[in-house]
Amino acid sequence: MSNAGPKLTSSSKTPLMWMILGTIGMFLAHYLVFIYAPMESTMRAAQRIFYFHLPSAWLCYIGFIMCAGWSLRYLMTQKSEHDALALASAEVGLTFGVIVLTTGPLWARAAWGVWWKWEPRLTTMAILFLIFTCYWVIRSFGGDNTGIRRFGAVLAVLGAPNIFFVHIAVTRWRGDHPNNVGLEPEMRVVLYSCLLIFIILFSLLIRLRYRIHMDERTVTALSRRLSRIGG
Amino acid sequence: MQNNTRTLFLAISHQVMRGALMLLSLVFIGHLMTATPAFAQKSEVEAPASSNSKATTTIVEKMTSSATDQFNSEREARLEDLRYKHLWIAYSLVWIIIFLFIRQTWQRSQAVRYRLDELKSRLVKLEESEEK
Repeated sequence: MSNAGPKLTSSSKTPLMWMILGTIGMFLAHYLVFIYAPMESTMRAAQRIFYFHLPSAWLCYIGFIMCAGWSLRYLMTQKSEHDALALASAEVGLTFGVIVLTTGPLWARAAWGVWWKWEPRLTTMAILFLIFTCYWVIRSFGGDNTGIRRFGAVLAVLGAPNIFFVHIAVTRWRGDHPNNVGLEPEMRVVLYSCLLIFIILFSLLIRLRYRIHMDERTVTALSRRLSRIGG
Repeated sequence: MQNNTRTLFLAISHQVMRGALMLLSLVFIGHLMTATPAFAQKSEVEAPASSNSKATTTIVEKMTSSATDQFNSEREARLEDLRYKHLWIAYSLVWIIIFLFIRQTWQRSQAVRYRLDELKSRLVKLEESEEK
């Protein structure tokens, strides 16, 4: 078990370059999605939801995979930094999950005529989202002690394989969710550009959350130290 | 112990209220969409019983065809309107969610930083008083 405590720092400055890149990226995304991207023939304007929905889904998966990976690392090393990264990844993954589960039904209503269908992809995605919501609730309201961290880490490691079922749901169980749709070259450009912009946003948010969690651990350590000294 | 329970209850209540507010705002946005999807409507246009005359049949067919065309174009216009509404709602929701997350992160960061600076200054004062 590592005895190294958290570093004593009060700096929570985010690299300015990331923020500038993110801001430029937002404006670029607006231009690409609403002006550059061609109009799709069947779904027309509603198809443009896809440029937010798909990158958010991928980043949601990546967030949950990172959470599981850092949780596994934490279980092996017991280092506070790994746990903080796992928690930050879960929080950002959940945020993108919320985006997926709100933009998806908006597209579904326009395409299928219903807000929700209990078809394989949607159902497994909802289950995955609920698992990591449980993780977040436990970590947020269960206190910050070693037992809760380990419990959360195990939950994340066991819940992450559900991502595989979400991925194969359409092909394996013949769902209605679109899968491997043909895209025009311009649409591919917009999709991958939006993905890159969302990755920048994803990285920025994880960094911010990680810094907060590490500072909170520092606050806890300092409080204990002061109470021992009698200050 | 009672204070911890109370704090936990307040924290959970706060989160539940925020979630409920978010849900209410989503429901409100949903109610703003007043257009009924045209695909939910049935498009049944039946031709009247034809008479023996071919001319009457032709006129009826023409009327039916133009009525169908008009209905289809109106239906398409309503569908197009619905698609644009959904696009703007989705777009707004994406940025609202990201903005709320960043705002909550920043607020928490400020609170933690303030607390950290306060503790560090107390520690420094304590160490200085011990040296004296």
